[in-house]
Amino acid sequence: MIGEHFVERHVEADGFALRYWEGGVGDPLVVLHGAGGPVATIAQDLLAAQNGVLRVELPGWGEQPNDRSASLTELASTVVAFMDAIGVERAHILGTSLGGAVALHLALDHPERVISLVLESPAAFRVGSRPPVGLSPEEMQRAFRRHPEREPVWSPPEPEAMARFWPIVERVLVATPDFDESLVQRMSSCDVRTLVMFGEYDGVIPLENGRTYRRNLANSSFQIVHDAAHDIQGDRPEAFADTVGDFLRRGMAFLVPDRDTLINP
Amino acid sequence: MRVEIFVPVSYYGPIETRTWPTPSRQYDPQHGMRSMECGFEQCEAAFRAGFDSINFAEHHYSINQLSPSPIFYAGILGQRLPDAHIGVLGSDLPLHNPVQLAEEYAMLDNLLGGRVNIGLLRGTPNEYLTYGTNPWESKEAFKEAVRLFIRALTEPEPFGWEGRYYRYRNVSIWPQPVQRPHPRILLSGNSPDSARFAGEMHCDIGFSFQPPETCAANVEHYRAGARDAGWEPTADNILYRQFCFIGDTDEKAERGRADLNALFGGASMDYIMTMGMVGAAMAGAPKGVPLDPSKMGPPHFDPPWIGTPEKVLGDIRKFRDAAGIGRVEFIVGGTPSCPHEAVIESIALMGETIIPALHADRFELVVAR
Repeated sequence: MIGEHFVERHVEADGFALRYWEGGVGDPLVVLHGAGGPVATIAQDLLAAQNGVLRVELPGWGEQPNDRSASLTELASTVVAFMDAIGVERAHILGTSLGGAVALHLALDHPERVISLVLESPAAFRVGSRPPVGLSPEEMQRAFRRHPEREPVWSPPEPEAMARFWPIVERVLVATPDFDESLVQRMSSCDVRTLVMFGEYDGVIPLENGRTYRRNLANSSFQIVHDAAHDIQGDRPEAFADTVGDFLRRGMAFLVPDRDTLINP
Repeated sequence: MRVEIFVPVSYYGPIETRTWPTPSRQYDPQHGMRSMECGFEQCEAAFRAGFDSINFAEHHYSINQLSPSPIFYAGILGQRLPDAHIGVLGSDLPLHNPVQLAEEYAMLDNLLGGRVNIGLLRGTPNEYLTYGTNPWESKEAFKEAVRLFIRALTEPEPFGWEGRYYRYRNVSIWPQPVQRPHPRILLSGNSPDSARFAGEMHCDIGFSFQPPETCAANVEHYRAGARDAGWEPTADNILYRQFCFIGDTDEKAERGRADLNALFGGASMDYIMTMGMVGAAMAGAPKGVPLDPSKMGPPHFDPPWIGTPEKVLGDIRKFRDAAGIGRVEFIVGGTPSCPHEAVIESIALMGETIIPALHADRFELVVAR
């Protein structure tokens, strides 16, 4: 079963009771979810073979309400407080969509806490995007997944859960510009090693937004994942884990394959 | 309607065995160099005759076509004919690194000042024996490679590609093409699925030798794919390749009838069966399914356009109206069995007869469709 080797834990941080799931051993990898909430994936199971994966539930997505977090920066500070609370000094940070925007702010505000940064379909820049609200289930599925049949089978968030956390998304993300020039300015002085990934068929945030990260983060790589939509971990989990795992293990040297090509001696 | 020519660059030297692959010991560089010059002379004759585009294609290990790398040939021709439009229709994409191929086409487009059209093809079954390319993966790998190829030509920032069949983690090609977003790209559409894909990719489509009813059906698949992608092709997006040879008498025209059986005539049954297996794999047959030799045979080609100008013009117009095409591409002669001088003569006669007539049909065609 997906995520079966992960253990659910709880910790107090930044005034919130945070839930998280821990699995694997190795350099810590903090996983920040998208607007729909935390999801166990095959990709994270695969990454747990080489990293200590910490899948965090951001405040407001669990049982405890969150009327306080007012910005991506504040959510990023909460994540840093979470790292403090569990005794993690530095970690790889993997953020998906909204979580990608939080992760970017974490890297900009606290670069000393980040070993490297992975942004999956990040939502910090959203030119030409359409928020996944008001769509039919079929439209929403197409926007998120090329292969909705792959495990975990994709399903839209429950309406009552959506009602609980969507105001937070509105506050911290939707209220910000689709293209934030001041964010670009801040990125230009960031040297955190960053991997940006977009699905070729992303129906939520057009992959052209990936260029903004590549252009403005000097130490970054922009990878387009073929046959994937917004939810890359769901559509192409093996490809996602392979790419991310290689990047976490070898840094920018991942641009060069390290697999032997000798056929026979 | 547009009239294009496919110049195969045949080898006009003595040959003992004409099987595929043709043993390279039979190659004589003097005849080879002369043959390549003959190809250029045919291109120059075609330019004088008024062909709208002079085209080449990739083929390997064969005396019929000395063009394993047609991009080289196109680049040299561009220097010799600075006003000619040139098409490489095309490259056998599954045999290659799509990023490198995009680089080469972008370079060619710069060298030719934006005068090139690109063709991306899956290749014929024998081509899969050239470098040992997996035919069972060919269809899906080809579709992915087309997407990667176009992405490489158009993506403004360095990027990586994590595909099912291709992985390139660092792509940023220089030079970029002159024609933006990219030169016109033609994909083959000889099956309903490939025709639909060409439409979805907003590419031109090319048919080879098919009967008009098959061609017309695939044109509809092409148009359906284009509609889904939000655009409407015109007849100018649709090219049909066929052998064509004219003479002022039927007897002279018959000199250009290509002897297609000679291509694989000397191959062993094992080789023929292997190529049949590859063809079946390319068409979607699963791995390990045994072939039934009784069901194997040559592909069904429509008769070539051979005869006097009047007859051939009638054949082409009839085909065009039945199939809904707006571009024809002639293979004039097509094999070394047709002498170079006869090819030049037929091309010149085309320039006096059927090319101006077909050009004049342009407006008729637009109104008719």
